Amino acid sequence: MKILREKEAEDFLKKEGFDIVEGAVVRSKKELAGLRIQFPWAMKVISKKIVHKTRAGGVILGMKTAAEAEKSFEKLGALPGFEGVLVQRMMMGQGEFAILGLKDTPEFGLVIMVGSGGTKVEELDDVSFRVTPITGEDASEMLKEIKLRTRNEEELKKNLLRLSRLAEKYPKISELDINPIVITQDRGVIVDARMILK
Amino acid sequence: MITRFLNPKSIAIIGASDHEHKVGGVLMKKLEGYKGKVIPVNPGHASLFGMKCYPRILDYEGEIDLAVIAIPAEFVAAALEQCGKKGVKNVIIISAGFSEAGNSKEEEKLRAAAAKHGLRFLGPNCFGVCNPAEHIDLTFSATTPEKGEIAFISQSGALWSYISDFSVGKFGFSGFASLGNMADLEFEEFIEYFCRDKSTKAIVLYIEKLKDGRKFISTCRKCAKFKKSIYAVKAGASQRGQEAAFSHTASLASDYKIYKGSMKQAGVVLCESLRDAFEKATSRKLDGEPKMPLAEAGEKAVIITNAGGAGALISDYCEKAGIEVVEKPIDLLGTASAADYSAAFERLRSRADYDFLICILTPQSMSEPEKTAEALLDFKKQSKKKVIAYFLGGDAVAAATDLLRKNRILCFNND
Repeated sequence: MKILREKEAEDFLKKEGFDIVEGAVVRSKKELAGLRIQFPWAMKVISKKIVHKTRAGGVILGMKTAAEAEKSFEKLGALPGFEGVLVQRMMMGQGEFAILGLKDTPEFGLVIMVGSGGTKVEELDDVSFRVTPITGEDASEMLKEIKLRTRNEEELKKNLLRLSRLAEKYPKISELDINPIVITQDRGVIVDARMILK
Repeated sequence: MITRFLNPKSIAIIGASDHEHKVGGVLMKKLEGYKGKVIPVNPGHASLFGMKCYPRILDYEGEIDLAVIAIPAEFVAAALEQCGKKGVKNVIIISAGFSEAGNSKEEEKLRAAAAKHGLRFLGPNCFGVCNPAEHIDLTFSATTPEKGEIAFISQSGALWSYISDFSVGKFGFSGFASLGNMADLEFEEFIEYFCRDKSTKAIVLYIEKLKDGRKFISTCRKCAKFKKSIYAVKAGASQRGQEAAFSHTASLASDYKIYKGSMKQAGVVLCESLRDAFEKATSRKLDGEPKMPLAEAGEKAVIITNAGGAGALISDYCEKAGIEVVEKPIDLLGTASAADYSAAFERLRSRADYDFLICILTPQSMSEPEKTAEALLDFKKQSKKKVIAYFLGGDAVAAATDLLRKNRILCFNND
């Protein structure tokens, strides 16, 4: 069993044709100053000693200027086990949050999921499942079954079908979460992902 | 391919008996109207019901389409081996005591013997098959239903006692198969059989757990050309996803949600209850009562049943209504007598961890509906707990139902 978190999972998905939010890992203020990522930013500490980043104060959101970013970098730098900072463009307000997922099951093998994404997915519980692989018709039906409506349903459907192809290509996936994928006017941007391989 | 399971020209009963409380005795009795040849097998009898009884299946000289094995588990593998040697290609193993009882090794032996001789078998730990048109009833349900257009394939055999009895005067069957442990034959073979069967219009499935969900979906899709409607009831549908899972996907992945999606892909209609499924399959209203009145959300129920499948379904309804089922349903098994129920009620007396008792009875050949109703009334007299009865069926439970209702105990005849 192998766990891929954040950057690793995102790099994997990027290679498979998914659109990942602009981001970079920086280890010094100099590297930070050299970034060409559109504001506002989210900054997350990279540290093996911290499990729950938010709880440990390892996630700072909404930096709008280079000066604000530098201050946040200093704060994160003081945390235990500091190795660097993941800087990402924030997608707040740019579109709707969806979740995409895969899970291996004893009865059906890999099943695929789409639904309302974000931090409260369990409470919203607005999801639809199918057995992989799915057809375009299956994907359309799944989107009809959930309450979530996005400004670009075609884009969400495209990503759902891309995930189904990924499941066929990698039967070793045990669990995969893409949450959220932000559906904007012209993109489906993955902000966070995690994955377990068998 | 499996036609002979439901339309055999000759049937050997291994473990045949004249004892009305033994499976082998019940089956012999129920085959009285059957036009084909019955071959009783039991080394302890020279003749049974006026027929010659054979010590071993090998001792019979003619051809045998179907053998039914109803003897203790330890002797089943040897009997199956003899069926193979005899050239019997279709076998129903009613005997219990295999993987369901933790004895997977013995079940493996059955598979090996079947593979060696190229025979197919249903079970073990199953309730048999029924084909009313041919007067074939190899189940120990108290009622044989009328012939008709509905096929029922069930992973719980005891539900057949309920459904067959409930159906009388309402609808009939083109066939029934109880799958038991599915060590060999599974849903797929019977779905295909009934889809091809001209007398079948609709198929109802009771699913606890599929062995291979992908095979199930592809079989149903392949059979779509036969234009038969398939309705499924899934037990355990109230189960949630994993708690404290690594991913959101895993915690959101409840059995029900996965089945909702996968059944759509298979072209199968997922139903709320067996009654719902049979209403849809027969396109008629079957006298319905509300599923779970009286009880309120937050209350705790103890379930006592003589049918595991019925216990599982009704605990699903409870969970959906926000009623907690204390531990698991107490399964007294299909052989439960009124005394067994009475003893189970007795054990409840000292318990305070529940608000009401749900007593489920399906009419099986050894059931005593009226005496069980009396025992339930005795319990009710001495207890402050609420009582709900599910005496599932029709004629076989009618007198018991009257008795309970007269004494103001809520009693349902369907799920």
